Amino acid sequence: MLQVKQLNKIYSGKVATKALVDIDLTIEQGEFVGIMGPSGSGKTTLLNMVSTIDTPSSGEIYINGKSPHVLKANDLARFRRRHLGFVFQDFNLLDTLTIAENIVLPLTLDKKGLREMDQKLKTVAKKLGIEDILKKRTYEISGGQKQRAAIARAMIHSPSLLLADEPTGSLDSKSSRTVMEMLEMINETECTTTMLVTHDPLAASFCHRVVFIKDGELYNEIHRGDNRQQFFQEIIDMLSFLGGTSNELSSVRI
Amino acid sequence: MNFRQFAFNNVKRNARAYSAYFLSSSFAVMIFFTYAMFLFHPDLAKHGLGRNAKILLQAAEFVVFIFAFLFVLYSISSFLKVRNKEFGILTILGAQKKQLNYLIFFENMIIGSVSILAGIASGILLAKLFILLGSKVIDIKELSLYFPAKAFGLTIIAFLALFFIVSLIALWLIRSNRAQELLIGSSKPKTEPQISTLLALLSLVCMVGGLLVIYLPKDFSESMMLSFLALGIIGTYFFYTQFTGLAIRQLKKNRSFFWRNTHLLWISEMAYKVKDNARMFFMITIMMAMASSSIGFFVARSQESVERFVKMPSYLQYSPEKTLGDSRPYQERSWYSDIEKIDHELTKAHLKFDKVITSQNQIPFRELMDLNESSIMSLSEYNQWAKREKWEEIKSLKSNEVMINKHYLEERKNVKTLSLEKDDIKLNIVGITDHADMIVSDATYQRLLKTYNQSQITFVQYYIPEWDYKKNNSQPIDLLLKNSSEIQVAKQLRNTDIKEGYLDARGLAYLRDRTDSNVSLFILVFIAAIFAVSSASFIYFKLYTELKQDQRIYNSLSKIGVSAKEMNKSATIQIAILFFLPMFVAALETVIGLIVLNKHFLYKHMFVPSLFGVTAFFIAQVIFFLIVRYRYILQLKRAML
Repeated sequence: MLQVKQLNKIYSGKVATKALVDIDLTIEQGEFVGIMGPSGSGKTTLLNMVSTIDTPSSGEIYINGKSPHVLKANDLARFRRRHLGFVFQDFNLLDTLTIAENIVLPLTLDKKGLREMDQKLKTVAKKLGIEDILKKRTYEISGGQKQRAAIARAMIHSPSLLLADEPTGSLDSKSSRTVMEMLEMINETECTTTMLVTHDPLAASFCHRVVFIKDGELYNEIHRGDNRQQFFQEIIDMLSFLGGTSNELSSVRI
Repeated sequence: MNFRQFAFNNVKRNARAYSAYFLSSSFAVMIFFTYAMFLFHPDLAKHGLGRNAKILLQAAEFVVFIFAFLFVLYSISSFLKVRNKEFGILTILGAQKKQLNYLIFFENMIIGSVSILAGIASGILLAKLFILLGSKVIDIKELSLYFPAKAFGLTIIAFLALFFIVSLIALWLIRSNRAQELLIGSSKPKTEPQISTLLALLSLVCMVGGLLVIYLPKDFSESMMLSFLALGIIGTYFFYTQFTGLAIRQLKKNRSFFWRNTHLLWISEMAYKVKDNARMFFMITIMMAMASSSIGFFVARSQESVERFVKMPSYLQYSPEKTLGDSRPYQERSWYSDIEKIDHELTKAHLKFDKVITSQNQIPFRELMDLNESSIMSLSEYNQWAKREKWEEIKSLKSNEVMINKHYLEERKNVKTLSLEKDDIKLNIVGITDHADMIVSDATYQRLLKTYNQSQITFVQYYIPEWDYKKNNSQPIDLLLKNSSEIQVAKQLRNTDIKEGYLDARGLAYLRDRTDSNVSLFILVFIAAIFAVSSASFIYFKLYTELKQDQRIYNSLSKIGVSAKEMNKSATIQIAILFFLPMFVAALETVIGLIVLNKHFLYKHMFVPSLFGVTAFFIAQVIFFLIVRYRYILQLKRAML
């Protein structure tokens, strides 16, 4: 589904910064992968490459066997809106639109028929449990509801790849859990390949697999077994390794 | 670095952020100064500019100032909004309210002073052009450049005061904001604009009501017209503040239109943008409609004055001031030097002319007591006049004979002789005349002048064959006038030093008419042009204020797949509506205004000049639109991926 080969990103400037070094990553169809790492490790850079927002210095990215980076700007935009779905930390819903209008925005740009839009909207809203806020405006609903609306917008055109950048970053713990459960549910029922970048170990524990990046290089990856609790613990341990002093967190947790 | 240096460096090092505010302030100063320079021009004072024209010119300067005030105030409030975050940071760092106020005030005065200087400097550059234009308009020889001490003084004082007051108001505008609010700044979500359906419908009713004005009968009263005007103005106001909102809301309900393509993007944005600019739209619409229909009105009026001019019977007429009881030959009278001057001017222009001097004396005949006037004229002068006008001359009259106008006989059928109280003369009525009041023999005229010396008036009438356009009325009057020396000579005569009497020339009257029309036109176009330029910069300011936010929105939109092309389309439609909606409404109102004026004044030539006016505004707006759109989209493109 997604193949990243020997990806490098160097930010040139007065001081050239190697943001990503020789990244190889493969995500299978229907997989739910988390990317973790300390601040500045390059995980958002990686996400931006995959989401075609940024171009790599070298290396290749294939989504469904195609390389999107050869496309021209307008085609690239169309590619994003048909094949990719985005969920952001700060929701990026338009204040000027109602929730329903926000959700159907990508479809209207593709000039889809009204009936098709209505039907898709109904389905996705039901799935995410936001049917009763569709007519509301962004300032009338909670953060969790906003993020669910944003997921609905990302899902409405059934993208082949769902990209989430810190989706729980500005939510309280209860909303975070709901949002992650939604993502998990979507991944299971729709088989949508999902890539999640996060700081939050709890959010990461919903993934099938978590990849750790440190200083622009792949550091390690761990797979989830049957037990999410156990997986959460493993993530915490891994993070404390990454942080340097190996036992400062784990000693507390255990 | 002390606090004052901090303020100074703020301005100096962040020139880019301040540039828009600085430029608009300088622009206001420039317009005001250039205009003042024209207004206080010493040559202008020397010229016999009509009282009306002078008052109009001064009123316009006042309007420009009021406008500058609103303009600068608007600029500073949107400029401060952009800087809210900066003030938030300063507050967090521990700046007191007092210090913040001082900072804003001080910065503002720095920018103000610099923009006064810049405005005056650019005003001087512009002045030559403006004065050239201005002197063309009021039809005098090109005004020279001069050292405009008065204009300097007025501009500096007026604008220092303006910036002082604006600074204070600006402080009041940001008074209650706490650090939190300042930091979040304008990125707070906007609530949906409140629309009252009732007011929206009222606007429609008012506008349709205003439209009915074209069905008014021909002889409508002024108060009736004014009430229709008021109706139109109220309608226009609510049209922008309420009706557009209602229309957009209805448009949103039509989902098959609204949920299509980029419509979702721009229609939803429009609701806010139109509401935010509603008051400005209102002002610009009224201003443009008034200016455009007035252009038509004044141009038509000056056309009419051409036609009226040709119909006037006398070309030049001089009436001396001191004529009472004077019986000396005309050449010996004190005012005759004026006649010589006029003769001289006419000779200089190689014109053949004929002049007839006539005197009339008002005599209270007993028999005609309660009738209006009864003025006598001497036989020899009457014959001169008659010869000139090709009437039948009167051979002779005895000293006890009089010829009177037929209208006296209609009133007093039985009167055969006329008598007086102070003189024992008896005048027998021997005939009737069509043209003069009464004609007596020269001797009788002189005799009566001795007794009744309080009411003699004298006229000197000039006949200039070359100025008789009735002969070849096949040619259009404009063309005849252009080829004739009359206007030229009228201008010469206006500058001639005539002391002892009044010179009435139809050429002069025409020139005065034209100057009044031209000055009115000039001022209208000038003010309308300022309005057009400022509306463009208002829109730009508004866009600039919200640019950061728009950039953020379009950045995330481009992530979910909005292409640059779609952004371009959506933004272009929005800006185009901001620029052309008021134009469109103004054009409509102009047409209605013209229909009404047409009915009232029956001028023939109003539509074409008005059309020119509207087109000129339109072209200017198109240029502004292209510039603003280009800059705005360039900024947004930077935010796109």
